[in-house]
Amino acid sequence: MSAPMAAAAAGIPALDSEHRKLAGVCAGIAGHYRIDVKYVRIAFVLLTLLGGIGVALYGLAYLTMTSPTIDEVADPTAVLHEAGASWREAVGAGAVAAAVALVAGAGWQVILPVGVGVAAGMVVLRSGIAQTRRGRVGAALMIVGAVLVAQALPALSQVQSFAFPVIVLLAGSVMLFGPWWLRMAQALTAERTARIRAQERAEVAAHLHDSVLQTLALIQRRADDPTEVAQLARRQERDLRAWLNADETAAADTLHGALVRAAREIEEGHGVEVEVVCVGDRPLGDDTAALAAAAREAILNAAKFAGAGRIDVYAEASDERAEVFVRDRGAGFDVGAVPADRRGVRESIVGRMQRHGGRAEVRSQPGGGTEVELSL
Amino acid sequence: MGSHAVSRASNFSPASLAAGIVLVAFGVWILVGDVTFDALFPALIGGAGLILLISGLARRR
Repeated sequence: MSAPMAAAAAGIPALDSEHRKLAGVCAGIAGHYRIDVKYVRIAFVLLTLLGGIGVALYGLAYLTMTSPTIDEVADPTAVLHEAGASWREAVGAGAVAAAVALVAGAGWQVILPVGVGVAAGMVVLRSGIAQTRRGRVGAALMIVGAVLVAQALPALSQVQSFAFPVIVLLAGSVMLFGPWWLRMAQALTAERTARIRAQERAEVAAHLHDSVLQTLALIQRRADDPTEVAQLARRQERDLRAWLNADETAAADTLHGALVRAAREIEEGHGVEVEVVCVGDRPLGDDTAALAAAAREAILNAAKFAGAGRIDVYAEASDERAEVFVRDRGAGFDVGAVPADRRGVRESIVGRMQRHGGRAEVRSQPGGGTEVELSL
Repeated sequence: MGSHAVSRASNFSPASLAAGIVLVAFGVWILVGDVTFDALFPALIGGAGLILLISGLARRR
């Protein structure tokens, strides 16, 4: 299984070979945490002067930082199990070596480096990190650094006695648990990324099956009816766009949602394209619902009588004001010549808006299309 | 209880065996005498290290 660079993106720095001076550790850390690389380099130099701990940390970082070319995903359980075995082996071997050095009558200047060096060597031997060139270089740096630190510890302890056990514990913990902790984090992140990808792929496949493939099958069956084919394609396009953009406008209880729902319904029922653009939005109250209903009526009239292939709906809404324009470039009509018994425009649009404190204006002329302006 | 005897291979723990041997060796050493702190300290470190080392090696298998 592979998940290239998943771990790096999720929080573990990657080596930066492009801006490297040595192995790209400092540049990688600086790039990851967005700090100036010179400060990272100065920190490593200062830590190296502090008994050589910088060398050990550089080796540790070199070993554990992700590489742009590494795409192996370890099994987190296996990494955890290996960590459990390795720290026992390393501490055990280090303790035995230190005991032998003690029996041989060596001083702490020798005992500590011997114990730490053997423990570090055991980590390298048993973890298999020495199989690659990077592993060998990193391990060598780590061991040299660990031995340097261990040698410097007794001297440091004379300056500040409390620092001695703290530094020993800290350095030992970092050396023993650092590589596995980071590998564990890498493995878990990569595994999680792979799982999310698999879920996303399954979701896309299911959606494609339920929507696009079904529509294509329908289009094949209705190939002799261009209007219906166009309608099916239009509906599918709209659904797909909404899904891709995670657009849940149509489900919203707002003016925009109501207009989108009306547009869809009329598109499907009358085979015309209805394009809705809404700037701002407001929740559906009594007045806004009346505005949406009047707009729906205007769209429906345009779909029924205008004969245009497309209807444009433009809305602007805020807390203070709401306006909807329904426009088509169809046949148009003489507004003054509408018979008194035709209640569609007069009652469902103009009358409805007036009852809710709004205004409706219909502008149309034969052959010039129609525009209905509704405002609250 | 009888079917879960400690002598079963699946229940065998090399780390426990090592700990037992180390403890018995300490006991014998103390009984025989001539134990000083200077000698006991490295022996304790070495014994603990040995137990851990065997535990780690066994765990990996």
